[in-house]
Amino acid sequence: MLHPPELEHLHRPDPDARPIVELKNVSAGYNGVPVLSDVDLKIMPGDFVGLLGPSGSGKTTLLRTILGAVPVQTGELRVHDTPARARRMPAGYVPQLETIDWNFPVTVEEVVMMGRTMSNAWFPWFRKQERQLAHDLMERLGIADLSKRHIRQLSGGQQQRVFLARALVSSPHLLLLDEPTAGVDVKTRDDVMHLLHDLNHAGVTIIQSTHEINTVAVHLPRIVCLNGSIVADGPPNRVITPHILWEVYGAEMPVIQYHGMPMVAESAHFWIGRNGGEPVSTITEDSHREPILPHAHPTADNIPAHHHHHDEDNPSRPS
Amino acid sequence: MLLEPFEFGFFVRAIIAASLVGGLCALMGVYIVLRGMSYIGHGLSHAVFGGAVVSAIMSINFFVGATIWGFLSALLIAWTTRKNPIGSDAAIGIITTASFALGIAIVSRSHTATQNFEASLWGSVLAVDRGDLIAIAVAASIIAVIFFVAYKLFLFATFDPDVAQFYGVPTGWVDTLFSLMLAGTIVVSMQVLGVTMIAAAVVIPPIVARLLTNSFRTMVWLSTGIGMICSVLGIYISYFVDVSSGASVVLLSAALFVAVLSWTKIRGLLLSGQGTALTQLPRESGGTFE
Repeated sequence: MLHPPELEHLHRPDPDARPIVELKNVSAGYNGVPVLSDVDLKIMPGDFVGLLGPSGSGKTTLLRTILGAVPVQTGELRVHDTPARARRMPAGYVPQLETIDWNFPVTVEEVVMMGRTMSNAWFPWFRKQERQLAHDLMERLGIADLSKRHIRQLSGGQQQRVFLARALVSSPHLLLLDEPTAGVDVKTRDDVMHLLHDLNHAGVTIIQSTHEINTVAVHLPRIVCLNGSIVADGPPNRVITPHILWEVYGAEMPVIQYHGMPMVAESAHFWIGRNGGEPVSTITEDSHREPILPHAHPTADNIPAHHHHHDEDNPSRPS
Repeated sequence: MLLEPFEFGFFVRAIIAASLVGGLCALMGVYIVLRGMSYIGHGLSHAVFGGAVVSAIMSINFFVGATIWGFLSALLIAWTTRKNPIGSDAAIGIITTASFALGIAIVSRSHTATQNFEASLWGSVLAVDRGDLIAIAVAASIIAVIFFVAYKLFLFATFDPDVAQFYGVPTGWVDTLFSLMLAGTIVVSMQVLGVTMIAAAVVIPPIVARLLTNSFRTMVWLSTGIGMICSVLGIYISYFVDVSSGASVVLLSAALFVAVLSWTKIRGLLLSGQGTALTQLPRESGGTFE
């Protein structure tokens, strides 16, 4: 199911709010070599932001920089309105599932409770209220009855929920996720995205990195494109254009419209095959041809991409 | 006749020392094995040998000198891998063997010291005196208390050090503390098990425990218990068959490992489809998302 765009107006920024994360002209990297340079980014409370970019573009580095694990070489990073060095951050973090050691002997409950390690660090047990809190959270995420299971004995979606629960058990205002939908099937991906939307509606600010352009284009109100620095930042309609995607990925990606949402037809061959060998969407300056949909689904809106009148079709998107 | 060895004071001391050392190595081993650093136990025990010899030459207390030496070696390994494109296995190989070779070089020059260090290399029940026993008991108590109090920190830092850091766990301090604990463990274990046998005492009990459980807490208890029992039985057997205590403990542990591995394999075959703890595949449970 596609996420209805009507819900997105709930995230219209409050003009008086202070950014929860603010990067001013930040360069960051390891051993003096910057991975990110000149990054200006403001994340407002209640934002739901997708980070797009090719491998090595600095998505994970940006998340780690916000978490304070990557040295800021120049510029300024403020999280919760405090400078980077002087904070104890109540941010939740969900790593890529492929980084987890699935042979490690821990149960679901043990992993979830790790999220509260520092709440009472030098005491061997968790308090009763903490356990109750974790149980309630697991109940809401639908993993309470799995609490005694080993982490290997779970489906992909359940594994994702376990690590989401670990991130949420300390009640963070800010949630960072590194490719939460990598390597899961379509249904699970959709479920995870809906779960994140629910959390976002409950007031959690979310930043997630991803390789899946269409998933963020459909689900997220704001997309930041990275390639060493920020290439584009805005709502999907503004960001998911052949031109910007060329700049970000260095690859030609035709963009189509489906129910008013931009989507990428990732394989150019798809179009070449159906259109007599001619790519239908190009990004060259002299060509302003709009994508043509030779065999489009009958219900698809064949609305051209990146045109201002398009916003009228979709008034709820923040501009 | 079977209780005969207990009539000797040295044997009683050896049994007590062995149970403490065996439990201690096995407890440390849980964290070492789960961090995938099994090789560091082997390496550091060799490095500590160099420290032991240098302490003897410089007339420094063996426990203090060798522990500091082992700790510095561990820090040096960590520092080498952090600043350079050198894998930790290579760094361990270089630093610990160099340290071991230094010890051997000094021993081979000063012929008088040779006799004492033979015990450090191969382990000897006879070498355990009252002072050693006290040192072992102190080290075991301190380390057990640290693991108990900082249980949550060590669990998170072992499971996922990178993410633990994001959650505020002082992983740098945890690692440093762990290196110090490891150096202390190896130093007090040397006389009983011997440098060359410590690695097995560190690795085998947690692996056997891992085959039997999927829970971290259970693994900690099980591994410590297996380590204690194997050490005590191994030393007891060594009295009768007259082999070195370290070798006896290691062979017994290895036999237990083979037995448990075989049992889990056979059980896995019998309950085909369910598998063993280590080979269990994720069970697809469709329809969990409503």
